[in-house]
Formats: sequence, C-alpha cells, structure tokens
Amino acid sequence: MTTQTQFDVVIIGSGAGGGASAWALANKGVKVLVLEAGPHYDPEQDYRLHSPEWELQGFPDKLDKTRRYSFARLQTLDRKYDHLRSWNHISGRAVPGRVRRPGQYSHVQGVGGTTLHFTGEAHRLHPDSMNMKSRFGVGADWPVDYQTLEPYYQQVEEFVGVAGPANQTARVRVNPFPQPVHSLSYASQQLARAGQSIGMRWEPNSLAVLSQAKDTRPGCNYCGQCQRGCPRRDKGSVDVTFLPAAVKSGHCTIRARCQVNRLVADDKKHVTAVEFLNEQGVAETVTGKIVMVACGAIETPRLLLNSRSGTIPDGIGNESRQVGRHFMETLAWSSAGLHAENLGSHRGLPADGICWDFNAPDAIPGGVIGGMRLSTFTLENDFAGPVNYATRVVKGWGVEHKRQMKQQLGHVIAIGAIGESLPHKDSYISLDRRQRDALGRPLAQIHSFLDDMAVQRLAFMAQKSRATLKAMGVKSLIEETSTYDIFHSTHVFGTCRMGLDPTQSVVNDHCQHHHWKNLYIVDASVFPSTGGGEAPSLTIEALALRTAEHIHAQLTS
Amino acid sequence: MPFTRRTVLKLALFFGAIAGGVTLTRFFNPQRRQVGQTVDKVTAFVDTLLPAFEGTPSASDIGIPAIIMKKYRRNQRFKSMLLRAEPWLDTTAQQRFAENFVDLNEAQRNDIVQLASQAPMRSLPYQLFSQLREESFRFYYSHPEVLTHLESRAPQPQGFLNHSQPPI
Repeated sequence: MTTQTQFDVVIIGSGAGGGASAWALANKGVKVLVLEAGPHYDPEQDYRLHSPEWELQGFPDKLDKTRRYSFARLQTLDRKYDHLRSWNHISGRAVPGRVRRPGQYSHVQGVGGTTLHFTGEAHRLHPDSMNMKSRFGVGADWPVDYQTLEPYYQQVEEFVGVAGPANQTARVRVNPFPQPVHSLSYASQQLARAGQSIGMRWEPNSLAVLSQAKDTRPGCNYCGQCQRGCPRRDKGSVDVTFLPAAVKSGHCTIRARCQVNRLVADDKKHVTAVEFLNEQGVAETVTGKIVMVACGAIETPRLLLNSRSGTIPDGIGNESRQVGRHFMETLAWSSAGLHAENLGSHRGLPADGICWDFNAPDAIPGGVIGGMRLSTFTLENDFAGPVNYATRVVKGWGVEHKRQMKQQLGHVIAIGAIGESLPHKDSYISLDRRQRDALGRPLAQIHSFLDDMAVQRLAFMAQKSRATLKAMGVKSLIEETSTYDIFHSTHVFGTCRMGLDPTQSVVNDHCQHHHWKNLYIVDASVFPSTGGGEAPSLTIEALALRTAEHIHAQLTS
Repeated sequence: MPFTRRTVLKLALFFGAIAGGVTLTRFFNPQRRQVGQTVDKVTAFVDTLLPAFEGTPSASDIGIPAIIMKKYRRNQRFKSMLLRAEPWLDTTAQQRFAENFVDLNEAQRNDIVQLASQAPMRSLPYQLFSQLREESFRFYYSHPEVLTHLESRAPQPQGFLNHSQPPI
C-alpha cells in the first residue's frame, strides 16, 4: 500500500456537494484531492443522442449500480390504497402482488455524480419547510435558515447559469435569475392553461440549463433528453461547471475510478487517512487535514458505518447512533394520458413547467403535513420517442398498431408530483449483514416505510394530477406511476442529519461532524427535511459553498 | 490478385459447400434443427406483430429475428421461456387450423397472437407474446428506416428549437 502526499482537503465524491466544495476551496488556494468511484464521462462520446438507437438506453451507466445496495422487506400494500398503485394500460399493474416492490434510487457514479443524469431543476427550499419541528411538530429543524443560505443560492445560480422566471413569487430573491427564463414547450403551455382553468398557478421552472450561451457552453436546443446526459454541455452538471473550474485553479486533482474503502482514524476522533483502491485496483491511502464525504444519503452512511475498527465498533462518527437514521426518500406520482391534439410533446425541456401552490408544509388541505409540487412530466417519464410509444402507449400489434403509431406520436401528456418525505423510525440505512459488493464491503441496506400521512399526501398528489389532465381534455389515462407500490427515489436525504443537538444529529450547522472536527459531510444526507418536492442539488451546492468558506477560515486561522 | 472466372467458380463452390454443410448439419443435428424451428416460429410471430405495410418494412425485413435469437443465445431466462412457450404455438395452431404456426396465413396467425395476448399474465403464452412484442418493438422503432417512415428522428444534433410552437 502506498501513501500519498498530504492534501489540505480530501473530498470523497464528485457530485453536487463534492464538486461545489472542490471549486470553492481550490479557488481560494486550498490544495484539494477529489476521489470519485466512477469514471469520467465524455459528453460527446458517451451521450448518444444523435444515434437512431438513442431511445434504447437511459443514462449510460458505466458501473453496475445494482451491487451497492439491497432492500429489507418492504411493507404490505393496503387494499384501501389500490387507487394509488402503478399501472399501464398495456402491461397492467406494475406490482401484481401485495408487497411494495424494491426499485432503485437514481445515483450515478461518475465524475459529476448524479448531476450527470439530473434534469437540471434548480430549486431553493421553501423557508417554512426548514422549520418542520418548531412549526408543525414533525421531523427536525434546520440549524440554518433561508436568509443565511440566500447569498450562497445566488452564487451557485450565477456560477452554474440558472434560468428562471423574472416574476417568480415562490421564493424571496435578492437578485433576479442570472439567465432569462426558458419558454414553455407547446405541450406544457396547454397543461399550464388547463391547470389555470382549475385555479392552479403554473409558471416556467427554474433550471440549471442555459437559455443563452455562457462562457464556452452554448444555450440549450431543447432536445428533451437531459436525463440521458447532455452532449452539448448546456445543462449545468458539475462535470462542466464546478469541476473544470476547480482543476483550472491549479489546486485541485480529480482521480476517477477510485473506490474508497474506509476512513482511518486515531483514538482522538480524528480522521487520519482515506483508504481506497486506485484506478489500477491497487490499495492506496491518502491523508488530508480535512476529509469531506459527499457520496449521497445512502453511500455516505455506508462509508461511515463500514469504517469500523476495534476501538470504533459502530463506525466513524456514529457515537450518537444517528448515522443512517432519518432516511427520507422521494414521494412521487405521475399520470399520463393521450390528448386529442398532436402536441409534439417529445420536444422541450423535461419539467419545464411547475406549480408551487401546494409546496408549503401546510398547503395540502385536510390536515396533511408536508407540501408537494406539480410539474410537467412527459419527458421525465420518457414518453419521448417511438420506442416508448410502441411499448407503453399504443396497444395491440400488426397493421392497426402501425397506423396508430403514426397517429398518436406526440399526443402523450404527463404530469408529475413530488412530495415531502418525513422521517419515520422504520426508514433508515443499515449495513447488509449478508450481502457484500465485489470488494467485500457490506452493501447498504435500504429500509423504507410509508406511513398514512405519506400515503395521504400521495393521494392528494394523484388527485391534483388527474384533475389537471381532465381539465386539459384528456379522456383516458394510459399510465400512472407511484412510489406507493414501488420504491423509486430520484432523491434521498437525511441519514447524517444536520442539527445543533449532538445527540439527535451528526453534523453541525457548518456540516462539520459534532465530535470528529476534521470530518465534514456535504450531500443531502445532512438535510433535516426534504422540502415539499424541491430538487435538492441547488441546496446541496449552496451548503457546500458555505461549508467551504468555513473550512477555508479554519485552515487559515 | 485479379479475380478470374475460375477463382469465382471456386469460391462459389467453396461457400456453397459450407452453406450445404450448415443445412445438412441442421437436418441431422436435432439441437440445431430445434433452433432452426425456433427461428422460423420467431420470424413468423414477429412478422405478425410487425408486418410490412404501406412502404414500411416487416420485422424480418430489418433483421429483428436475428436480434431476438441473439438474446436467446445470451439470456438463459429468455431462452428458457421461449423453449417452453413455443410448442404452444403449434399445438394451438393445430387445434384451430390443423396446421403448424409457421404454415398459417396472416389472419390465422393474428388469431393465435390474439389468444396469447389474452392469456393470463403469468402464463407462458402471455409471456411469449409480451416479451416478443417488447423486444421486437424496441428494435423495430429504433431502426433508421422505420424512423424515416414515422417522420421521427434522433433528438440531437438539431434539438427542437421550435418546441414552443404547435407541431407542423
């Protein structure tokens, strides 16, 4: 085993949190090493959106993602919620049985992390959702408030290039969005009009996608395939924004395909080294004055829990036994139907339109706590081309199927909703006692439970989605997807909670571990609450910049 | 080396012998004969799902059976399903029309496909129908010739700069 020269900061993970931290620190002259488990992606070569076969593959993952986590048995499905189950008008119910099915969480291992695959939604959290405990008696409060994060939100938006509406009322802003708003696609315009006809306010979404050229990156050309990776680099993923700028500073080294095995510690609650397998599969250690973990709310607790030793039997940073607890997932719903008019709905940006009316934690009527948002979902749900139409939309086969393919292409319209996920004692991440990955490390095991409040929130999301499509004139639905019967998380949160009380949280308000002073966590595992459907990347990046500022002050003091 | 008439004849004989050998091997080797029959049934099935129509190619016109047989060779679960399900095609064809599936006319094949599509979801006939439908449609609708007929194209490099306008 070889040991590398000491860095000021070693960052594990190169996604939203790791990438933004690397830039903020390297830009100030701090010597940074970023270790990334996955490979580099070359946008022009890897994202094959110009090929006729573009639709056969989703995001081109280069690493096997199925060998990193497992599921504990999920809950039994209640017959009274059968109207919330996933189905398709051709293939029937997605889950024929009565037990919730394990799906996946959208996690990319690669330089840039899951931002390589995200749709670019760039949301600030609802200020009230940061006070869930004190305002609503559930979950936990954030130890930082919206006003504290506001300048960091702005800094990220300007650096990445976020486009949004000039008159957005959902959040208090000191400055306008740095890029002009994207126009809604024709299909989304019709959906927004339908929503407005039943009293909902729809507006263009705020997106980390360029509406006009910025530096060397061109403006978007609305191909609609952000989730398959952006070959043009107009989407503000971390690999084309923070990381190249960090490297350009001359103070940041990125090493891809380096799998971190564990953190090494002394008996003074100090992380002394990071052990990893390098690009050639050879064991290495590296030392840093500070170690930042940014692997996401499943891999981060896994790494800490796997960093056990004789003197640290519960894993590094787990004195309060809070690591892995308070796991929060994505509560999601979508409804899709066929519109009589050809909307050309394969065009435009995914999630280009959004409705924030029910985003506040107390906005859903009937005593349901926790908010949600609705957005256009046709492209997020991949109703994007002939393959999906042939297999999911147009029934039958033969000559009639071919006729209908020609007639129905472009007619699908889908709406989606994402809601608040609150902590529950039965939702957490642990180490799998039996299953291990290729390197012999225990897998993370996902425990997930949706309580009645969560299902009621989901029911409201379904009701509003169906009502909007009905108002648009959609006569019959063709598919609905729900996280009630399938665990499927685009975002995961909460497993190394940020807080002021060391017995109830893992890190403090600067994302610094309460006891391990040279250990920081900068991903959504520190979120005490999820918000009412906001995408987390902007908040992760804002927190990372604030944390980097704190670390820089520590290193220079 | 210039190709003389004699060389061409020699090559034709050589490749003809190979092709003949393959046919004979298939005839005398039950396993190969079985695979050959499977190919024939798969071809007939996917051409029923995707017939040539108004200038569009059939599934076999663009090589879909070969793609499915590639999956058959590589995916044990798919192979097992296909091997267990395909006798149903001939049995049912014999019961209804007194002929094997590959010998039926288009309307008769459609009748058999209809039966498979209406079978219980976990039954072999339904699995045969749904998996062949999924596989053949996926590859058919990502073929350049088919996309041209549908007036569809890959999203890049042009994108859809007219996205906010009604489609033309």
